[in-house]
Amino acid sequence: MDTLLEVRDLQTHFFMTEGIAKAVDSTTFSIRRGQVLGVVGESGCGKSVTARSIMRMVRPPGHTVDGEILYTRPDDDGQSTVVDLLQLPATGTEMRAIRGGEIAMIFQEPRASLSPVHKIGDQIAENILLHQPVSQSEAEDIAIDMLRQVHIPLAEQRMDAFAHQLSGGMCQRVMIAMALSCHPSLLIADEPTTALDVTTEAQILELMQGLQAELNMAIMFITHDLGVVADMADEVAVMYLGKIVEQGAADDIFRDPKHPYTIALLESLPRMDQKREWLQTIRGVVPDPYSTLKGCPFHPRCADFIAGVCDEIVPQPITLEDNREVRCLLYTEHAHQDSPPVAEETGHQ
Amino acid sequence: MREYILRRVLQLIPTLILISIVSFTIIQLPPGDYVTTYVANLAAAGEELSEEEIVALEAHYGLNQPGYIQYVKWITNFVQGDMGLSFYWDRPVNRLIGERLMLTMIMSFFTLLFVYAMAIPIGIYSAVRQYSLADYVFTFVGFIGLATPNFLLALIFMYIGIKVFGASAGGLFSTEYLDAEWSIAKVWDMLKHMWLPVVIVGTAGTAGTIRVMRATTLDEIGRPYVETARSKGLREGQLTMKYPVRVALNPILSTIGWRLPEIVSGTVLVALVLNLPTTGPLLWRALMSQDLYLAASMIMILSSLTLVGTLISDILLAWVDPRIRYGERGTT
Repeated sequence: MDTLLEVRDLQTHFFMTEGIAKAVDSTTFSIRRGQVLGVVGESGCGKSVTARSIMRMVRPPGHTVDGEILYTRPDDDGQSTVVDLLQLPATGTEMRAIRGGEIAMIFQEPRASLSPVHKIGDQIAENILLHQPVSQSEAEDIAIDMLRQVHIPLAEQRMDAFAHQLSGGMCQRVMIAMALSCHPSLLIADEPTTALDVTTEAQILELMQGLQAELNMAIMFITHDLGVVADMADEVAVMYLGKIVEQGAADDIFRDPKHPYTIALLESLPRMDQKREWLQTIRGVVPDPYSTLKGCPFHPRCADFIAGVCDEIVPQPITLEDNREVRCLLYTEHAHQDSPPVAEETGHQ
Repeated sequence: MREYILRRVLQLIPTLILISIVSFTIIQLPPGDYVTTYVANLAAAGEELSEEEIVALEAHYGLNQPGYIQYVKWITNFVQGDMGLSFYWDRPVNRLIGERLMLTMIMSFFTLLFVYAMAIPIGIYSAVRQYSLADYVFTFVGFIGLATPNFLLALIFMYIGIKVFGASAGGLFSTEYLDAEWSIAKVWDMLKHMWLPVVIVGTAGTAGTIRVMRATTLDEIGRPYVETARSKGLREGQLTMKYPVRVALNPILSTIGWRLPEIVSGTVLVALVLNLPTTGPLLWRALMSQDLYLAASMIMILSSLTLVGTLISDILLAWVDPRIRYGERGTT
C-alpha cells in the first residue's frame, strides 16, 4: 500500500478558560497516494481541526499535544523519505515548503478566503513564486494556465480581477487553481462546496474529480454531506467528537454501515425509494466540548446502548472482516451473546 | 479614478458655500456684536461712550448694515483673498492669520507624523502579540494617554521643564528669534521647540490610533484569507504585513482627513498653556470678543481644511481598497 499520509493518535486540544476542549482526540487514519478520503461528521466534530493540524496551522489557544503525522516526501532521486510533520517547527522553512507546495488546502468560504485588496492573479502567482524557481512573468503565465484548467473564461483578463468581482463558484475555482498551481500530492478540501448553491456545487465537484484523475493527487475531502462523499470518496472516515468511529471503503460503508452513529447518519438522509412521513433524526445533541463523558462518547445518543458497558468502557478501534475499522463495543466480547458478530480487538491504541 | 476625483472636487463647491453661510451666521448668533462687547469692556473700565460715538463706531465697522449684506461683502472679498479687518487687533485678518496658520500646519503635520509613526507599529505589535506583557503595557500607557487632558500634560511638562531643566517649555521660539526674519537658524530653533507640543498634542491621538490599529488588525488576523495566505507557506511576518495589516490600514487612512481639523482645534488649550503662536488662541480670543471677520474667516479656513482632509481620505481609501474603487460598477 502506497501510503502518502499517516495520522496516528493525533490529539489537538483547545485550552480555554472554560476548560480543555479536545477537538481532536486520538484520531488515526491514513491516505494513500492518489486516493480520495472523505471525512464526514457533524459540525464541531473536529474535521476542520484535523485538517489544520496536518497543515500545522492550528492557532492558539489550540495546540496539537500528541500524535504523529507521517508524511511521505518524494526525493529528487525517486526515493522517498518519511517525515513526521509534528516534529517540524510549524513556521520553519521545511514546513512552509510542504505547506502550499506539497500539501495544499481550500476552504469553506471561497470569497472570504481570497484577499479583498489583492488581484487574484497576484495571489495565485505568489503561491507559485514561493515554491517554484520561476520569474514573476513565468509565474503569471502558469497562473493563467491554471485559471484555464479550472475553466475560468477569459483567464487573462480575470488575472486583474478582485475577489468581490467574482461569484462564489468562480472564487472557489480560483482557490482550486491556486492550491493546485504547485502540483501538490495532497489537497485538503475543507467543506469546499458547503457555501455554494447546488448547481455550482455539482460543477466544482466535477472539476475536482477531473483534476484529481489528471494530476493523480490525493484529496482529503471534509464535508458533512454524505451525498457528496458518496460521489467523491474512495474511502470514508466518520468522525464523532474528535474521534474516527468508523473507517472503510466508501461502497462498504454506504452498503453496510457498522457503527450505530454511521447507521443513524445514513438513516437521517432523505431517500427517493422510501416513502416516509418524517425524516429520521439522531436523538439528542452533540455533548458540549468540555464534558468528560465516561465510556463511549456516543452512548447518550446511541440506539443500541448497553447499560453498564457503553457508559463504562472506552471503545478501541477494531478491524472487521472487510478491512473496516470500527470503534464500538457492540463488536467486542463486552456485548451480549446475541448481539452482532464479535470481532477481534486489534489493540491499536 | 480621475472621474471620481473630479466629481468629488465639484461636490465641494456647494458644501463650501453652505459652510461659509453657517460660519458667518454662527458668529452673529450671540446677542450683540463687537461694538457691544467693546462698550461693555469700556464701561467695566469706568469709561462711558455717547450714543453718537457708538453709532459712529458701528458705521465704521459696517455693523449697521443688515447681516446678508455684511455676508456678501465678506465672502466676495474672501474668495479674492481678502479676509477683512480684525476689529480687536485693528489689523487685516490676512496678516494676523498668515504666519500662525503656517506654524499650525507645520505642527499638525509633525503631530500626524508622530501619531502614525508611534501608533501603527505599536498597534500591529499589540495585535500580533495579543495578551503578551508588551500588549498589556502599551494598553495601559495608551489608556493613560487617552484619559489625560492634553493641557494637563502641558502643565506637567512645563513644571518639569522649569524645575529640572530651569528652562521654560513654552513658546515655539527662543527669545532671540522671536521677531527675527526667517532663516535656517530660526527653523532649527523652531524644530527644537516643537517636539514638546507635538508630543503633548499627539499623545491622545497616538493612544486612540493604537486602539484602532490593534482592534482592526485583530479583526483581520482571524479572517479566512489570512489562513489562505498561511496555507501557501508564506513567512508569518511577511503574511501579517501583506494581508491583515494591509487591510487594517484602510480605516486609519480614511480618518486622516478627520485628524487635520481635530489637531488644529485640539491645540487651543495646549497652545494657550504653552503660549504657542498657533491659530488656536487667536480663534479663542476672536470668539470671546465677537471679532466678526477674524472669527468667521478662521472658521471658514478650518472647515475648508476639514473638507479637503475628507477628500484626501476618500481618494486614499479608493486608491487602497478596490472594493470601494469598483463599488459602483457592480459585480459580475
